[in-house]
Amino acid sequence: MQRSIKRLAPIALVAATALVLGACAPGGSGSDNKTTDTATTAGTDTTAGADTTSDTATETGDTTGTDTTQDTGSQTGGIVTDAAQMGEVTITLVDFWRDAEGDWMQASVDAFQAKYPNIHVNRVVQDWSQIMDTAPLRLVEDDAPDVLTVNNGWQSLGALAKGGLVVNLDPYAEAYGWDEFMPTTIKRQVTFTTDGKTMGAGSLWAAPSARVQNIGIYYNKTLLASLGVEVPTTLAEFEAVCEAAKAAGITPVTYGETDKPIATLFALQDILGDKDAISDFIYGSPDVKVADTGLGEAAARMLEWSDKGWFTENYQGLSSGDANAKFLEGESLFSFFYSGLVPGDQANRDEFGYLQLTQDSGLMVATGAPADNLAIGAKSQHKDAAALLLDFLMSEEAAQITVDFGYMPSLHEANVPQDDALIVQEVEAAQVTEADNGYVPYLDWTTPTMWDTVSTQIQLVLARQATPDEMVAAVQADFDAFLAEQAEG
Amino acid sequence: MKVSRLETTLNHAFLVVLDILVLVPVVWFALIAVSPNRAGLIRGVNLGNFAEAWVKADFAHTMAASAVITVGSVVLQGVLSITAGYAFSVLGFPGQRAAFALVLLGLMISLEAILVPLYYQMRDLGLTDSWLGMILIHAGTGIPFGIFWMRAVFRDTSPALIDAAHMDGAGSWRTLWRVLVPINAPAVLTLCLLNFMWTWNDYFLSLIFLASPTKTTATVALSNFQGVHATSVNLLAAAALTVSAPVVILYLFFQRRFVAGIVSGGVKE
Amino acid sequence: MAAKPPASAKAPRGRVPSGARRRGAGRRRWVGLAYAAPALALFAFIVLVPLGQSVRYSLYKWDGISAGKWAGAKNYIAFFTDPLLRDSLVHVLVLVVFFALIPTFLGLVTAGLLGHGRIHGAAFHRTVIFLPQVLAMVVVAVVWRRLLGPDGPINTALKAAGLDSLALNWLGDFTWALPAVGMVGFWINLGLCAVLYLATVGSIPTERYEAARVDGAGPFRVFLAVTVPAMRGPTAVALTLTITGALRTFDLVWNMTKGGPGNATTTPAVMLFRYAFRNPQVGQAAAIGVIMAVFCLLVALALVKLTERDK
Repeated sequence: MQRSIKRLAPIALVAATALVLGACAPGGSGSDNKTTDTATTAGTDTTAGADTTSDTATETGDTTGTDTTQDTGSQTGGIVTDAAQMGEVTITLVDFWRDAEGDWMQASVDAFQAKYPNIHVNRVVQDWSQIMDTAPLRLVEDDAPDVLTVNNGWQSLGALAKGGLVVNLDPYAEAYGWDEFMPTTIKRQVTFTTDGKTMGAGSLWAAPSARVQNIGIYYNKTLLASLGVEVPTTLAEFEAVCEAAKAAGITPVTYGETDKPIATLFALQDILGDKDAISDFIYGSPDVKVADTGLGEAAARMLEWSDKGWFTENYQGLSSGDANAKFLEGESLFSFFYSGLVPGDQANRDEFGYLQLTQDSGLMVATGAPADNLAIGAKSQHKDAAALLLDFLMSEEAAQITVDFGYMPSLHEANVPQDDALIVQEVEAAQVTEADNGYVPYLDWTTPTMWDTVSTQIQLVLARQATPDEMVAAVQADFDAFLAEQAEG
Repeated sequence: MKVSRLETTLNHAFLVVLDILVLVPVVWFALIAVSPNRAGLIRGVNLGNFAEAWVKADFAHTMAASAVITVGSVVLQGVLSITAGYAFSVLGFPGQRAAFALVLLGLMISLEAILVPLYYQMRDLGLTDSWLGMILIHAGTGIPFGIFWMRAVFRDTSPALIDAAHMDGAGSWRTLWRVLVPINAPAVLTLCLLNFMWTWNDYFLSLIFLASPTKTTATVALSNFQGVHATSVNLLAAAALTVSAPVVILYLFFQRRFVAGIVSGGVKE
Repeated sequence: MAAKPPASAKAPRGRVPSGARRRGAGRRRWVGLAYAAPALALFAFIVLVPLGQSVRYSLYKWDGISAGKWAGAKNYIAFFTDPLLRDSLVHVLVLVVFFALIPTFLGLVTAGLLGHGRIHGAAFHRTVIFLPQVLAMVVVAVVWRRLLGPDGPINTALKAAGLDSLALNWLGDFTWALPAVGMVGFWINLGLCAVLYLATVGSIPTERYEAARVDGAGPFRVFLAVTVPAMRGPTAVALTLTITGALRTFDLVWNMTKGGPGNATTTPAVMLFRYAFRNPQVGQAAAIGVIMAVFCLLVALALVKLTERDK
């Protein structure tokens, strides 16, 4: 082929050029239109659809209040809340819960189906990253999922809401009366203005699950007892325990970083930073700089811990999953992680305790959000049935299922089994945080690229490829670029 | 000139070193795959790993998906390449030179160059998350090499044979399938084997074009398995061997064809 | 690309005139079109149309959801100015060294060292050393991720040999992750290069060596005068396959490091995936694709030119 290429290469080049030109030429005069067409084919349609829905709902919302809906269970401006009127339908639910947590989600869905036998749920379990990466593409397909897991923030839900790919849930919230039990802090996390400019205000685009996840610290009771120390309550006490553990040959802090985890960093930020500054920054206030949020201090602290050898050995080569597997086998003392690290059916669950450290001011601040947020695809043929599922997954019954599986309930009170020491500790910490008004959102919601930026930067800091100050500057640059883009439209 | 004894020994020693370099990781992994030890230490034999990995990686679905897509693509690409190669080499057609230049262009560019628009195009036609869509993509991207290959094969076939077939009154269709294809069976087999390997081993396209866990392929299932069951190294190894098995078995039977195809520069976009 | 005709080739090349010309124009030429049409149609649908679209997308700033905006050459400029994208280009050039240059060089040297006699068990050796070429990249990645793990056999062996300081977190280390991925590419491609060269060495007529030696040439001169010229063809094939393979690295990196630690092992293909899906900047993704295609095209054409000129 060498020879033939030689002979045909010029032709190929000419052909390639012709092809390139050909591709552009017809668009030469109207290429702007053309791309716009392709780009918005799906977008325009669905946006229009979403608008219509919300308009109708707002109109009718006034006349038919929550009470009416519940009394008659009848239609309100096109919205049906009575399962009996929905007929036999099958809806697809895409979520990412596997293993023990998968059992919890499956039990919730099973309970829903038992209650509404005419509505079938086809549950599809996928990797978190796969759902996040492909949601904008999947949602415009003809067989798009009816209900799917979204993440808070601009990378996921913000982009989907802005593009009209998910349904505006305001009419459903009204029809079902979701506001009655949904705390404003939680609701705020899943609201965006319809123009796609602001997070934390405007319409509701996703429904939280009746299970909450905070970032806290799990500890191994046996190892802690072997050191003969009390459960720490402040960072100073915590570090003293780590010092003692290290001296006793115990790995103090569980850490693995190949999957770019952020839990440890955010937990430290919650202890070192100002909660209002953190919140305001995440919700896009241009007046707050990331330097004011304690992020740099948190990164510096992690670097210090790494230098002292407090993290799991070889953490640079482990994923947080690998490292936590070691923690659950009793090989390290503390683990900063999301609620639910120790599954309800874990054989040695009694071994583990949960704590949250207070700030110097005595306040307890924690990054927290519902474990799952579910949105309805704009292309769904069964939006009413989908909304009914969301309503159920936010119900008191769902909250109880959450507790029964050993996880933290949300949205409703649930009977916490007092013989399960771990969940009692988790719930107590959550109550203190709530009382201190100490919940903050996740920093990575701030911009579409913030997760990549912040998770990469902390790796750089720990590897001494960047200083904490450089990390703060990089995060600020990401934020500024996003604000500029938003302003530009 | 006789080849010296020393030279022969050297040759052997060198090849043995290469053999070891390649085989050590493979054999090590195979031993882990049959080891009952979850942490990936070699400790005896437990063939149950394969059954457990089969279930956990959902290979019942994903291997079937790989098989359907692979067989469909091999057949489609094979038939289209043979007919087009015949046209390019024996029959000729108007615009042949320009068309061949485009085929060469197709050989030289990479898949990445077309990926994004291809995704949107297939989606608009409802061909994403679809085995048919995957078959079309694999066959379509394999066609430049297929045409190139079959064209070379048919060009190098003695024209006397073709003329003889014509004398016997065979039409072009009959000449192709009754004369040209049978005598070039080894080259056709090579083309099919290469395409089988490319399609079966594909990860990138499946990752992007197949969303449903029930439709996705074994390679993607293996990658997911690595993420989800990171702590069961023996099962991961068993899953990896299972995914490799079809191509490796074909390779052991037809290694000469595989080598000939790849060293002659067989590439797919 | 094929550098030589398939094994089944029997007739000498280039002597067979095109059948079309032999039989002249007429009905048969349109029959030919009918035979070629289905393949060309599928090829155009799957490859050519998207290729043209790619070029167009690459000139826009588009998030994949809302309307696109004209961006001119911005996406192309970004490829060479954006630090992340520029880094990915540098990384892939490092991978080219490991995937292509080192195996090719070693292959060439060994071809010179090794004799040209018949090798016993050649089929066995060939089967073994060529094996990595037929394994799925995902499988290779899974295997090597474990091999290179902190507690993996490579580190265990290093520690056993008393080289504890060399037992690194290969894939988690900013300095070593990229070379570690490169080593895997080397492992994959060494067999390809060895097989290519050995086949060629075996086909050099012994008389040529004898003639060179009779002329009083030493081993090195024999290598330069006889072996090297014969190696041009296989070198071009080896380099084309391995360089384009390296430029397009995705599966391996994605399943070993996801581009990390930090961004130490990102490649253009990884960036393309990120831009196409995670934080959609579709225009940027298309521009990356177009640039990579041009690179592959240039490599192929350059190698052809090089080998042709030397002749």
